[in-house]
Amino acid sequence: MALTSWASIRGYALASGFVLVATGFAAAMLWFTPLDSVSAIYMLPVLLAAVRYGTGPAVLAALLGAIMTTLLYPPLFRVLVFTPSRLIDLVTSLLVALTVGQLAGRLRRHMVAVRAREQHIRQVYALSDAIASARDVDAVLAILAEHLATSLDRPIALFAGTEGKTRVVNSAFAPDVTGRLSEAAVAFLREERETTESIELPGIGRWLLCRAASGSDLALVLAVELPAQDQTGGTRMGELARGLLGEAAVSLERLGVRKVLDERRLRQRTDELRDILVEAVSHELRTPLAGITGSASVLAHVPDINERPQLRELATGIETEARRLDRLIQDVLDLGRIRAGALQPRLQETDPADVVNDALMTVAERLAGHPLRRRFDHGLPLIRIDPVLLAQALVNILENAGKYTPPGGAIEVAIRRDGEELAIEIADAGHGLEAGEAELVFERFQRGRRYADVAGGSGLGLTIARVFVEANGGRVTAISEGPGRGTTMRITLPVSEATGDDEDHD
Amino acid sequence: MTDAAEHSQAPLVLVVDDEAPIRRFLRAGLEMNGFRVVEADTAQAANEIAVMRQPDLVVLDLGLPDADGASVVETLRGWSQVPVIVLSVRKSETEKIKLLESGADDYIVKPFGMGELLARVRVVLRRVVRQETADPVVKVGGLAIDLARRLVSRDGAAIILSPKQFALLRLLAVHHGSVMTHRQLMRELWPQEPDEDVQYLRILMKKLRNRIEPDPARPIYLVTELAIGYRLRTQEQLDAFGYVAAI
Repeated sequence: MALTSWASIRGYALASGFVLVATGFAAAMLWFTPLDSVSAIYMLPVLLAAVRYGTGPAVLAALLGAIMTTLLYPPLFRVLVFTPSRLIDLVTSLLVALTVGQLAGRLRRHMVAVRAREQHIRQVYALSDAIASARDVDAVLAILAEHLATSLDRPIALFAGTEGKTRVVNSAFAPDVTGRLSEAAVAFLREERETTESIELPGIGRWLLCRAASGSDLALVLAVELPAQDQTGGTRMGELARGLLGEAAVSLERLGVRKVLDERRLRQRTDELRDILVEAVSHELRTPLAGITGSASVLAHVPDINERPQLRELATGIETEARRLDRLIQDVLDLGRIRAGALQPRLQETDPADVVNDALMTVAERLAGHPLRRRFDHGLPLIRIDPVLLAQALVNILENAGKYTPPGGAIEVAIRRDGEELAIEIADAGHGLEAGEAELVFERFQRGRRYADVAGGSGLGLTIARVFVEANGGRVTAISEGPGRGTTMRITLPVSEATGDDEDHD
Repeated sequence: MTDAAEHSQAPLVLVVDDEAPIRRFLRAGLEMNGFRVVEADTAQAANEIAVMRQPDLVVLDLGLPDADGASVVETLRGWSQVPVIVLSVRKSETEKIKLLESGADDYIVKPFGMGELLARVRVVLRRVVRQETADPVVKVGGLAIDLARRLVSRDGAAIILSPKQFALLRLLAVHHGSVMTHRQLMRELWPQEPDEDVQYLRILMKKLRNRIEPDPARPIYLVTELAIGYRLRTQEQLDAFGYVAAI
C-alpha cells in the first residue's frame, strides 16, 4: 500500500540523515582531536536505523558510513581509499546492521501486531456497543457498514442476503452504480467459489467483492472500489476486508443477529396467525349475520307480515340491527389492521367525485332524514389514493355527521381544489364542538358524553377515518365555530401531478 | 306465480353455499319471487347439478370447503354461459376483480337483503333475454343507445360521441347493468396496450360523462364501482339507487 512504501522511503531517508549527523559529529570531533577510529561513531546510525527502521535502512547506513569513514581519514576527503582495516569496519557494521535489523524488525512487527490487535479489539468493542444498542437487524447492518467504511478508510457498499433475497444495506455510491454492484453481489453469492474476488465492471472500474456468512441465515457481501493504479489486485485490501467482514460476521452471530432474525420470524408468524384469526372471526361472526340479515329481509316481504306495520317494523328492525352489528365488526377488524400496521393502501388515479358519490350512496339509507347538498367544483383533478380506504373514511365521517345532526338538519358535501391540494368538506348542522374538542373527536372511543344516547356506534369511526385518510397521504381536521354552529370535517389530499387535461378530444 | 303451469316455466336458480341458513333464506326469498331453486353445498355437487339441471342462473358462495370461487366459475365457464352471481364476505377488491374476469357476471357482498340480490338477478336474466332476442336498443332513464345504428340520445336529443367514447359506452351497454372491470374495458379499448395506466380510462370516462350525464359530477347512468370498474345502470338500478336526496 502507498502508506507502507512511503514509510520505508522515509526510513531510508532518515537513516541517511543519521549518517550525515554522525559525519558532522565526527568532523566536529576531528576539529579538536584526531580520532583513531571514526568508524565507531558510524556504528551509532547503523544501530539507530536498525532498531527504528529495520534491516534495509540499516544496511544503507552501514554502506554510507563506510564511504564517509574513508572521507574522514587522513588524507581528508579523498574518496574510496580502502585499507584492509576499513574493510573490516565495513563488514562489522554490515553484520551489526543485519543482526540488529533482524532483531529490531521482529520486535517491531510484534509491537505493530500488538497495537493492531489492540485497535481491533477496541473497534470490535465499539462495534459491539453500537450493535447492542441497535433495535433490529437493519440497524445492526447499518452500524456494520459504517464500521467497515471507517476501518477500510474507503467508501463501501454492503449487501445482505437473507432467506434467498439480497438487498442493499448501505451504499456510498450513486444508485446506478449500486444497482450494478447489487447484481454483482447476487451473482457472487450464488457462485460460492472464493470468499474474495476482484472484478472488473465496465465503466465503473475494478471492485473487490468480499463475502462472509453470519450463521446460516445471513450472508454479507462487501464491495470496495479498487484504486486504478493498484496492480496487486487488491490482495492486501482483500485480506483486510475479509478479516474485518469475517470478524463482523462472527460478532453479529455472537451479538444476537440470530435473535433479531428469530424475533422477526416470530413477528411474521404472529402476523400470519392474526390474519388467520381475523379471517376466522370475520367469517364466524359475519356468516350468521348474513343469514339473519337475509332471512329478515325475506320475512319483511312476506305479505302477511308486510301488511301489518308492527310486524314489518320488527322484520326490518332485525335486518337493520344485523347490518349495524356487521359494520361494528368491520370497525373492530379495521382497527386491528391499523394497530398491526397491516394497512396497505392500493393507490390508483381516481376521480374524487367518484369516491364521494360512492360513499354517499353507501350511507344514503342511513342519512335518509337529512337533506344532502353537493358542492363539487368543476374540472376536479384526479387524485392518487386508495379509493376503498378513502370511501370508508368518508362513510365514517358522513355517518358521524348524520348521528349528531338533528333530523331534518342538512349535510353539505363539498369538493374543491385548493392550490396543490384537494379538499373534501363535510359540514353538518349538528351541535358543533367546544373549544379544544376539535382534536379529541378523533381519539378512540371519544364521543361527546352529552350525545351518548343518540350516537350508537363503536366510537371508532372517526379514529379509523383519520388513519385511513392519513394512509392516503392526507389530513383530516375538525372545524367548528362553536357549540350549536355545526361541524365541518375537512379532508385535504395532495393532487397528483399526472392529471390529464379536461379538453374534449381523444 | 303459484300457478303450476307458470311454475314449470319459472327460471331455475342453482344456489351453491355450504351454510344451510344462507341456502334456506335464499330458497325462501327466491321461491317467493317466482323462481325455482336447486341447492348444492360443495363445488363438486354444484358442477354435477349444473350439468344435469341446466339452471338459468347460479348464485355461488365464495367460501366453499372444496374449491375456491374463481376456479368454480372457470369450470362452469368451460362449457356454459349461464349467468353467475357471486356471494362474498370478503372485502377484497382484488378478489372481486379476479372473479369478474374469470367470468362471473356480478357479485354481492354479505350481508345483503333479498331485494339487493333480486335486483342483480333480474339484471343478468334480462341481459340473457336481450341477447337472445337481439334487441339493439338499450334504454335507461332518458338515455337511449342504439347499438346497431350507433346512435345515442338523451331525452330525445341526439348526442354526438367520439369513436372511443362510443366504444366505451357500447361495452357497458352490452353488459348492461353489470360491472366491467378496468382491465376488461382497457383490453377492448386499447388492445395494443391493455396494461396502460387506468388513468386513460378515467379521463375517457370523464369525457363520456360530460356528454351523457345530466350532472357529470353526480353520474346517474355511468356509475363507478370503486377500485373495480364501471357499470351502466339499468332502469331498475336507477330507480333503486339513483336518487339520493339532493338539492
